[in-house]
Amino acid sequence: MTDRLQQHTNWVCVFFAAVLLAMTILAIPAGGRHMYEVITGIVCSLFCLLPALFFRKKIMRLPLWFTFIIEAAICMHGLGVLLLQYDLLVYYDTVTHTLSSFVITVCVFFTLLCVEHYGSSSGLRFTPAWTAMLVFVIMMAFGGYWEAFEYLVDNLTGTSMQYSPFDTVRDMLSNAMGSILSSTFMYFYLKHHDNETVVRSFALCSQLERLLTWNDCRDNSD
Amino acid sequence: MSELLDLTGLIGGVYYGGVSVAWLLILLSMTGAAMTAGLMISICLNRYTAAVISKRWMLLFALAFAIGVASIYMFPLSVNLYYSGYAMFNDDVRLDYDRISDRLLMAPSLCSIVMGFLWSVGLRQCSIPYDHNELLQGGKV
Repeated sequence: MTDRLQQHTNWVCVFFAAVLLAMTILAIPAGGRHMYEVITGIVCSLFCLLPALFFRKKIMRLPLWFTFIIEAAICMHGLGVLLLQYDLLVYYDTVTHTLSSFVITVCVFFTLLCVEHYGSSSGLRFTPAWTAMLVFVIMMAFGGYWEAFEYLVDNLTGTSMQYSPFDTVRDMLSNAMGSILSSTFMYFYLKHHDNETVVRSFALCSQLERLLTWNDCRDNSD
Repeated sequence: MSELLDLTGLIGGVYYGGVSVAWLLILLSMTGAAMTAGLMISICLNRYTAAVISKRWMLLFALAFAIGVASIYMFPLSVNLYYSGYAMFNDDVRLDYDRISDRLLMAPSLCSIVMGFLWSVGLRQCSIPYDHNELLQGGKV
């Protein structure tokens, strides 16, 4: 990625963080806002700066299109909490869940690409179809783990993270839709992009490279 | 085996927290079957496609496959619960203090997580002596 393009990426992060911070500040005197909403706004705006921080600290570089989707997902969640869109709009929760699932699926996809790239000398090779299928089942398993976690927390602490069975199924459906969309998108993306070029564009720091190569040091047949 | 126990009526009437123990045993055994199927799929993919996967990755796929199947099973199960008259929506659940529908809906996921962990340890131990290409045992697809 060129430095000019990376500058655009950084500005996207700063823009979304500023929007969220401004909304948080405006929400405080509006009244009726609890500490939860304000903290969510601040935490979301800090999360928006992460891709730019990763670049500044030379940890990794993320593509502009992916950064934009990450920022949009965080911003939608933050605004949903700050402007009470989760309560006011019927399908807002479904949209944010699907978008978040899409983002996490792409993250898993890129991680697998890096694992394959740094483990390739021991013979590890993922095809686009295998990667898409693996990512889909991993995401469905994540969804299962998350819902089980919510259920256990509700039973142990008396909270209501799971509102109703309908809410649980809707979350799972959003998760599945986001995973299918993302897996299909990434399958075609990999058909037209060379794995090595994609991984090189991340410009991972040496610590992360060592971590990924650790897998390579182990016997692949095992 | 669980089906047989259920059909013979030995555990048919036994309930734990309102959930049939026979059904829980069926879910546990289905997780084992789903994990084994996932492992077989990954072995075939390794053998018959350009993908080269280690045994650890095969096991990860099998585990994710089994829990993924349990997650997908929640969709038809929720439809079944709805038509059986269980509390499904926010307003209904507020009146249902026992929340039995939540327990029934989450049973497949919880069973798959517990059994998946145990079965993956077993499958790992079983696959250690074999090379990942030997696992197909000369079978043809």
